[in-house]
Amino acid sequence: MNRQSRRYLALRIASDPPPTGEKLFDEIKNSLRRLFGEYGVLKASPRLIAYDAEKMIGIVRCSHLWVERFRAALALTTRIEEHRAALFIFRSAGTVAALRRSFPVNDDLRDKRMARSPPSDTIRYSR
Amino acid sequence: MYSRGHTQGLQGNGFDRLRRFVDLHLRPPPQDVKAIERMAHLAAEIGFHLAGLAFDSQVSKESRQRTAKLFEDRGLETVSRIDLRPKDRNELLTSLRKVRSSFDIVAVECHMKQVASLAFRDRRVDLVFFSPNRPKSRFNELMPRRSRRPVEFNIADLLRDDLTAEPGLRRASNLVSDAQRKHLPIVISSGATDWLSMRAPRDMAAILSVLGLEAVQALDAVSHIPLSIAQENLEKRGPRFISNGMEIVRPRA
Repeated sequence: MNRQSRRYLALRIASDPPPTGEKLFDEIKNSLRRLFGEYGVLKASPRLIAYDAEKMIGIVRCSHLWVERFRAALALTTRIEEHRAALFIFRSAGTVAALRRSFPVNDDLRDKRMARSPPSDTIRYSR
Repeated sequence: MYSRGHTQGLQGNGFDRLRRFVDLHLRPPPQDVKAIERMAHLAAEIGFHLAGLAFDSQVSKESRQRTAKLFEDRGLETVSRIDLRPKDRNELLTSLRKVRSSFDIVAVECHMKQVASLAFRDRRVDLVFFSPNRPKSRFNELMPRRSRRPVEFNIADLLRDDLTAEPGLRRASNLVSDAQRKHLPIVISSGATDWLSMRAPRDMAAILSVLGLEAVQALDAVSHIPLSIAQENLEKRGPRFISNGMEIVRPRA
């Protein structure tokens, strides 16, 4: 029943052509897989929460028990899509809101999601 | 000499925010101003307080000062460093005599026992590190028992494209276990030659933490230990220093 605690990490991407959000997330999972295997990906349960391709910053989420291992895996990333790259974690926080206060990210992923499924006009009432 | 922090882990608590992170091994190309500026900008951005800039002995003093100035403009403190790669004991002794007074930090790359035993004993040596091309992955025989000379591990050795990660990780893991067995302090540096091989201080600590170093020790290895080495050497090279525990104190006019 208890939901697993999570940590949110502010990420800076250094790469000459900026990667797309999908490629970045694939590479994050690949880095974890290389170091800790499929079990590591499962346990760390990484997720790309927000990504600003213009500023090359993003927010990733992982299990709070796997933060150190997640950091290590990201630090050992050297390539994204055959281009040399590096990932730096600037800050970590327990909530997205806390992280966004100190690290404002324009969320390209949310814009894409919104474009795919525009909000309906129907209003939901909660009981 | 090497004080330990009072933190609980890599995430840290209030005390952890007071840590001052140090990368003692940056190797910026002295002619490429743009590359140096990029490295300086990134070092400041990812939270370093002090940078150790490694140069060859052929690089002129003006060029060294120009490079250091670019880092200082970004608010970083700098120390100059030289990496010695002697072939035998005599070459190490000759090199130490030549360069000790010109650089703040002297590091020695050890690949054989004779060089290592001298490097760990000689007080003019500040740091010892091991060649990434060494065929053996154990370091036990190179590390003496009674020494407090810090052993450096360069993260750049793990980021080489020509190798898979596994041999590098094995070397790092062995280095950690052998250094811990001999009670030698460990220093983690990036060993970066460009901005893409630099890493954030907590990320570097996380790598060695995953490989068996305690979380607090891993953070000390990028903060307290290298900082105390740099401060000690800057004091030694200052005008008031005579010997350990002795300095010139002028009465106030």
